Amino acid sequence: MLSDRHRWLKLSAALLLLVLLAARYTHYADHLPFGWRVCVSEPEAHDGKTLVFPIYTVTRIDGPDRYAISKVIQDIPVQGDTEGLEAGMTVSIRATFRGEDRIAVQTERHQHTLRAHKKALGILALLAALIAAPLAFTLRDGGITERG
Amino acid sequence: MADLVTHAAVGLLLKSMTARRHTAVFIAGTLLPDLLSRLPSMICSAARVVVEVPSLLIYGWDPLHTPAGMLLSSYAISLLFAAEHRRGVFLNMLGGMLLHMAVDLLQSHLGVGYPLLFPFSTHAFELGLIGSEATVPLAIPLAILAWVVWRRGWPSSEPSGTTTAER
Repeated sequence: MLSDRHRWLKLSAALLLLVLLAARYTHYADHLPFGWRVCVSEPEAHDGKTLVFPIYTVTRIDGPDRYAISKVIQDIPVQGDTEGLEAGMTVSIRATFRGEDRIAVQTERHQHTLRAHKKALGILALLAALIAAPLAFTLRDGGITERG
Repeated sequence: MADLVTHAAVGLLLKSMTARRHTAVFIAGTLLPDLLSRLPSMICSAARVVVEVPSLLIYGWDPLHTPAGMLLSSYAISLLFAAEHRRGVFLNMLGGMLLHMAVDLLQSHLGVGYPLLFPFSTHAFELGLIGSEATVPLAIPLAILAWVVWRRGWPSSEPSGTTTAER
């Protein structure tokens, strides 16, 4: 499995399998049997359905009890208290879909106040990895080798 | 996902307590699930503001954050290494990636977890023991602790033959 025999063929096969996994997951994500898109496509049929929006960005405040959130789908309207909420904040929301006006009625909200710090730590780790990679690895004999 | 500094620090701590060979590969393994899946997905999502991006480039990276994707990506990456180190690289990279998954599983995302059995099942799991940013305040202290432990060596990793009286 890990020998040099048919090395590039094995590498190509692994990459092909990864592409197939990607295609399968994309098909699943595009055809979710639940979620905002399905609810909006048949609002009456999905009235009262529970929706969960983990790690979404607040994109707009429309009033004291209305705001919009985005991730892959843009500007999903939410009914819920907007006190202390600002555009750009990250939130996770559990909501109930209301079909008559196609809105997610918030039942639980978690504000991710440390999200920006988390992203900063991610950038820090990425920069450290970029600096450390050439110190930890080198190219030798047609392959990558660990130094030391 | 927990923050990347915590992932790397937990990996370094674990390597300090166990075999130290292929540490760089193991640490890379703790970082790669997010760097291979979340980073390109975020870039492609951001690009949609100016250009139409196909769904495959938005969602297609997510399997790299599942055990099946980790198995395939660590296998593919290990094939880029010199043959004599390949087995150790594969096992350590996969180990680092699975440790990343284990740390992520501790978190809560309102019940929306990780599809561990994808592509066989899309059922998502999470333990929900900590918030998704709970590791942020601990990340830097944990990284310092991991570095110190790594430099000084874990007590149990002293040379064999050292008796309790000699300590």
